[in-house]
Amino acid sequence: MAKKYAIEVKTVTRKFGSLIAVDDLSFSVERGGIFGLLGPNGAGKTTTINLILGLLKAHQGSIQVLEMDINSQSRQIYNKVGYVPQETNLYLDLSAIDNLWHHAALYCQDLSDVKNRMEELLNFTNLWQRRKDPVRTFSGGMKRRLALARALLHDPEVIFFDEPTLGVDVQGRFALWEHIQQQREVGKTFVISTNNMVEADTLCDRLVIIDHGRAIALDTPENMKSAMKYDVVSIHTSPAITNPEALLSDYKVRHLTQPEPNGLRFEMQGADTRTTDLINTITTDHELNSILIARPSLDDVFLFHTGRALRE
Amino acid sequence: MKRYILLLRSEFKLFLTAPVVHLIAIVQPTLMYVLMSIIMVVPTFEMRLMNPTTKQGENLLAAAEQVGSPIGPDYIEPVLVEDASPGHRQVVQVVEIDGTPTALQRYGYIDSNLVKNLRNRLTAALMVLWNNELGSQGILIQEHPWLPQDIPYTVYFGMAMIPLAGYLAAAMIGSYLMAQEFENGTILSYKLCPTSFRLILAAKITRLVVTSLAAAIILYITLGLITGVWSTSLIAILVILLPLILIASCIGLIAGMLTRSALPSFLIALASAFAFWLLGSGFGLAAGFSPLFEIISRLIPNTPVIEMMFPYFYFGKKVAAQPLLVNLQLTAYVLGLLIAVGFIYKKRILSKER
Repeated sequence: MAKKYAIEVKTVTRKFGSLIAVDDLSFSVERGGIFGLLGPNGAGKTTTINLILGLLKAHQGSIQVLEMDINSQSRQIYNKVGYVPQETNLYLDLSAIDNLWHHAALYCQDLSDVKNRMEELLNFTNLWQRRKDPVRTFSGGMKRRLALARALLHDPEVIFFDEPTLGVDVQGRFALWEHIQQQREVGKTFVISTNNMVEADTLCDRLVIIDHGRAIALDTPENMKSAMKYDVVSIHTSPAITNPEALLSDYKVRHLTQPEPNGLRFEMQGADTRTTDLINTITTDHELNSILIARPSLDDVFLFHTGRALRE
Repeated sequence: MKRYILLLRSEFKLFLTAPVVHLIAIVQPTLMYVLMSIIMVVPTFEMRLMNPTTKQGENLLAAAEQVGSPIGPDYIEPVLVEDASPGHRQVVQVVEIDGTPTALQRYGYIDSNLVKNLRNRLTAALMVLWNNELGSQGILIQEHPWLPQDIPYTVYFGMAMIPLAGYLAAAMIGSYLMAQEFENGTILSYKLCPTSFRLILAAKITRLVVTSLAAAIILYITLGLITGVWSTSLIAILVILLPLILIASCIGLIAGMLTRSALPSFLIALASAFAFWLLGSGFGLAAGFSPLFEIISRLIPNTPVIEMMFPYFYFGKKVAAQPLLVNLQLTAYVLGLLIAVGFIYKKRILSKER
């Protein structure tokens, strides 16, 4: 019987000279889900993927992929994993179908049905009509879709997708998300790295937030946000509130900021149940132009753990 | 086998990623040969004594015509079969021919080298003039071909460029495509693939061999069309070229893997091709040069290849070094480089970054 986890990373450390790129990182990826590595640029996400794939050697710790050790069984593992790197490494002067043939020659164990599979995947990624065109003529989103089709060609169990929608327009982004979710439905395991909170929130079943190579949170996006216990409140008044600390002293608030002269932003515990009270308090001496109460985002989770926004 | 054919097909498709490099590598030697053979093959050119104003000049011109000299400038150093004496005086032996003591001076018959031929013929013409004065005491001039069947220089030059054509195509295309894989990040597909690296390298080398043989055949056909000389066995020439092309393929792939950059690897391939050509009997068989040059030249794979090609080309007459030793030498080069390519592939592509 297959184990629950597709990937197990245990206390892995990787240094580049004096820089610790990945620091004592541990996490497990369940089979058949989408696991996210979320963090700002330079956090160590791509290094982590390279370590899992055996492209880099870990200086400490162990990594198992599909119950095999990456150091000693990498060739067997490569039969069962697909990888879409950040820099889409396609042959730009070859056609989409020729890129797939090249991949098939290198990766596909069973070559008997490869032609049908190519057709199926090119249809799946909406590229069948453009299969004979040079990849150079493709948009960023089309290249990423082709790279995904290529990674799926040898029917891998686990697919690593580094920054799936980097440089892709909104339409292309939604199409890619849909493709990834459809593949999850048929049992594929995805590991994606991203610095896009919406992407992590939309796609990932579980994720690890990485900062400076360390895991600062590991859970489902929902649990991470729920654990915050604070909602984010943004209000706009006239005139401006001059002493917000005094005005909101009856409420459990924190992180008060004034993003604009008449605006106020803060995190408040139980904002959803005390909305009426809050409005009454504010409108005693001010005109309330707008109020927005939002659940905390993953950015707020990151802010909570690191003291700075993910987008910084 | 199916995978090998698929890999081979993919390798050929990579032509589309560097069509200009392919064009340069395949056509350049042929173009060089066409241009240089046009420059070199000048049937006649003006000699200072074309319109002599003195009696001696008229006599020299007549003598030059008598010995069949292509009319050219006044070269003075003849190429003698015997070495010159310590005082650089020309050796004239007195031998008996048909019972008559005859002063004999042997010259290399060098139709293979137009320049040398000109000066030899001119010297011979001067001898004829002298003979006219000496009468029955004259010097007998004999031409001694260096090779059993002398080679017109345009033919030799072209034939010696066939190995260059094969080498250049294999090394240049091999190095460029391999380096390009690193530059474009497509090498990642090779790093993570489960297929045996031996099979991948076999497909890459096969593709280079086929392309390079095509380049050699293009030059061979051009050579035949220009000179009218065709080999007795094209297959034999291609078989002889095979080890050199394997060597070039390996050197090209190694250059690409070591530099990981298209321009330096391209230049390495180009430089090595021309160095091998110049040192490897590109302008004449190694035995025709100094002993030291011959030793160096025989270490270059082009030399044994050229020497093996010529006996086949020249009606089966052997002018080469020992075929067994030559074959052993080439086999050792090929095996050594194949092992080196495999080793470097594992180190540069398959091994983990530490």
